[in-house]
Amino acid sequence: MKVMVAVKRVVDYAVKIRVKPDKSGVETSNVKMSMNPFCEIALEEALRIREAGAAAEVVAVSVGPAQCVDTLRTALAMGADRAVHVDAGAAPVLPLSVAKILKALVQVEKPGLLILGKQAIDDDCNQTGQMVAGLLRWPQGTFASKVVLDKEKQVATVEREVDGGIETLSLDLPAVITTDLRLNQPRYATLPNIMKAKSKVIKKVTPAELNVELKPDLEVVQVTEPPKRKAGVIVSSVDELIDKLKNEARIL
Amino acid sequence: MDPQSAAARHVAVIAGHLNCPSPSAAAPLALAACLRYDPPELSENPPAFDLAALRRILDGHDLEARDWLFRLMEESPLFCPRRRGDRTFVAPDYNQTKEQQRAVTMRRIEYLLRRGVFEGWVTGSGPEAELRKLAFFECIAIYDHSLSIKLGVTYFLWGGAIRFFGTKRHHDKWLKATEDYQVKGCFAMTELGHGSNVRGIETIAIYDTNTGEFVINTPCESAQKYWIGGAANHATHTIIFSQLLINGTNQGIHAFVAQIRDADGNVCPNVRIADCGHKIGLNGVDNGRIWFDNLRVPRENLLNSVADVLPDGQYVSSIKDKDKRFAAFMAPLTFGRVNIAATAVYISKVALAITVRYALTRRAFSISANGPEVLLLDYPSHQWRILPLIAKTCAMSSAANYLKRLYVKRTPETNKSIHIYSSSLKATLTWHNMRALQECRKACGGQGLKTENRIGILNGEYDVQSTFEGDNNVLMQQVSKALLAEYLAAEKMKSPFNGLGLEHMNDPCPIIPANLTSCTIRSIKFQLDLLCLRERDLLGRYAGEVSQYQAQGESKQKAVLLSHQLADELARAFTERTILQTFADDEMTQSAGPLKELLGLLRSMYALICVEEDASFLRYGYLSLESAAAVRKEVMKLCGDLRPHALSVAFHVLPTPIWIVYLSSLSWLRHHARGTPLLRRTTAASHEQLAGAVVPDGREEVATHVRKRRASGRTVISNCGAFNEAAAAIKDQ
Repeated sequence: MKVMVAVKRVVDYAVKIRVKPDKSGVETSNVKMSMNPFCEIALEEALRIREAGAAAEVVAVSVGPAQCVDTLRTALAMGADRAVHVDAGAAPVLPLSVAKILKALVQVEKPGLLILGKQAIDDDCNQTGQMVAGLLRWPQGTFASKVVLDKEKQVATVEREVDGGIETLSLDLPAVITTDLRLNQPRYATLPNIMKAKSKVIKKVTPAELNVELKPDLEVVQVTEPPKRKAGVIVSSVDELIDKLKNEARIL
Repeated sequence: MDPQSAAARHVAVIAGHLNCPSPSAAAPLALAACLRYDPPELSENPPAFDLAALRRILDGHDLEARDWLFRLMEESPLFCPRRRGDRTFVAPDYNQTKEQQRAVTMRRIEYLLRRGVFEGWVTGSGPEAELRKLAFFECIAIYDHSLSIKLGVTYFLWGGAIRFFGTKRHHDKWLKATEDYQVKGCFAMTELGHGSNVRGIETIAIYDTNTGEFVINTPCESAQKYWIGGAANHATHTIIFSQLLINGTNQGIHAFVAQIRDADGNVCPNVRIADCGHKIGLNGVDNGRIWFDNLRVPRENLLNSVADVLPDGQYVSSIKDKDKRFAAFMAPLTFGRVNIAATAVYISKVALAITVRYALTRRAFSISANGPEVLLLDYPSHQWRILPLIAKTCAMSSAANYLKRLYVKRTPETNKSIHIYSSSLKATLTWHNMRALQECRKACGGQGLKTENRIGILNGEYDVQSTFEGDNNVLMQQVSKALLAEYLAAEKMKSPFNGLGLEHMNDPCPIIPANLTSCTIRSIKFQLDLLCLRERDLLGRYAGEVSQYQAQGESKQKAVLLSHQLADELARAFTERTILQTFADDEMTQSAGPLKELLGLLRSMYALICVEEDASFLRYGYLSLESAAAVRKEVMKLCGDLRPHALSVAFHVLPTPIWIVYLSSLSWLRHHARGTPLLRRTTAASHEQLAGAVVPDGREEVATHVRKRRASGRTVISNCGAFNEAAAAIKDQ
């Protein structure tokens, strides 16, 4: 069985985000980019499934401009067997378009399991996994905190983190799983593996070749920073605190 | 529902208060203007040149490997990472007892071992592998000198000895085990009575023909092995250097492998070990004292690449001459000197980076009536203290890279010149390092005393560099001795000078123009001419003075000792000329542009400060009084020219991530300004959460998760960072 993992190249989680002066978006040039942390967890889960013997191959996929290849090499260095880059040009691709592309790829590669991160930390959409499951009419287990595969019965048991606690689902394969933070700890890529990944071939496809038409149905009108918090004020006594709460904050 | 809506109402009120300023504008507790400090990056101009290109020149090699290693350190709680905003700082905790420091050093080694840092350190070969090893070593030294020494002792001294002094039977038995840290080696060469004079050590090894064993003994107290890194607590094996007695004849210094601890950590019989005790620095290294009481080692344990003892007790060697044999023996130890020289440069960079940042945020005294206090680095006198040190460090960086490249491409023919270069550069760069550390400590005032700010503690940690692996004064004497030999040989054979950069002696004597303009003074030709002139003249004078003493009846050795003043000046002249040449060569490889101009400024500053600081230019008349004054004025001008670039050069000269160093100027401000809230990014999502949105902010979630894991001492996700650089580098290559 093949496992396909979709990964996204995003601004690194530790970077301080700046909005472009023309308010058209976030500053991404000269800024550190990495694989989305949830996608890393998804990839790690796929690798563990392969190592447990329930799958034969892990294919990493990324949709985006040419620089996505860096992220795919990271995936190869962690242990993915193959990588596919869908070059969608420089414009950002929205979840529905990504879902359509993934659906087309799934029909080509025919994996038994599609794993994604639950959301990307740049747009926080939390939509792609759900949308592609809908398009494929596959069962989905989202916000997974534990995945157990039964190869014989071709069933995945997924524990999901929901508001009320943990929900356990049983999904018939093929299925879509999106991963949450507590699912696993991604492995390190050692420098020798990074060097080896350098020479692996990454297959390149365009949306046209997949018969997918990307028409953007959302337009970003403006991006602004949230209003800055005013600095706090140090008060020197309890009386002063009460006075401020009463007269300035008007809470008491 | 009712309690819900009351809470929601409260929340809305507080949120409203936070978002809208209160109408009564009078704020009785506004922050006073004097507490406003900005990081220097905001007030200084952005770099006028390509920082990455400068880094490539100054680091020289293996940039992505260094970044990978720094990332590894940031990821493990063993390296005490601390986050300030979006940066991670790592620094060892020097406030631990020596036992604790030794223990955490071992744990750090185990972590790096697991992450594959040491792959190929002993078994690998070839220039690339050696350069990468040196790069890793420099990065480790930037973090903690104890860690790098503890590793150096086992991987380079012990491992290098097995590799270069030993033959196949030694390689098969010990090389892989050393690389995997299964065997922890140490290097028992230095004795209580003999350090720099290796040939004088007193440990004795005698061959017992009956049992086919060497019997090794410590005959007197001055023969005890001393300062043996790793021996006091952890080392399992050692290389013993001792005099070899065969049939009553002393065949000279040889190296033997012996086990000193078993797998359970118990000291082996016939070996006594004691702890050297607490030191002024480097307490992460367990230095030990070793005595051998009739210790028996098998004949095969003699490291026999140069000489051997046959089972019947016959001594054989491929090199007949005892002196040459000893030199061939010592050749592999050059690696240590190369590494020490390069590391010294990096530590100077660390200290200068901290000092420059401090000088660009700290203010003292105003020079106009109602003006603000002036930044330290705006004072010409402060510039005079700091900027020349930066120029020297950059120049020495080029020299260190030159030495490293020479070393990894060594052949038996180049061994002699490598020995000279490594000796002169090790001495000069470590002396410069200590001077820079002292000056930087003082330039940071009280903040320089805080261990947290690193500069002060580096003084104690790195002082040893000037005396270990060869005392600096002894090394410089070897340089002047070699130069004298070259001079006498050239004179005797009437042949041209060849090697050690002395070819300029074959050209006519350079002429220094009488009237020096600023343009002339800053030209590379003038600077090289001047330094070559000094070297040429001093070499002639030294040879002359030595032969004069000999003519008066003194022995050659005594004559050399008596001429030590000239010898000292000559060795310094040789080294400074070499450094200037390597730095100028690096400058010439750049195409014209702001970077090349900056390198030119630094190069001029280096050359001129060498002139300014050496009395021999006036003592022997290489410059007239007026010319010397012109040079001095030019240095002042150069200070002004370099001032705008100070931050970029000093700070970004460090390997990125530059925040590996705990920077005093940032820390002392944020640290001490109590009540100044750290600016926290509030995202739209967290505002939304107040009103009860569903999708959490991914970045906040990940950041909190990472923080919690770190706090609980576990390792963290973040392949993201780790091989982002590597991935980018893969693309570049």
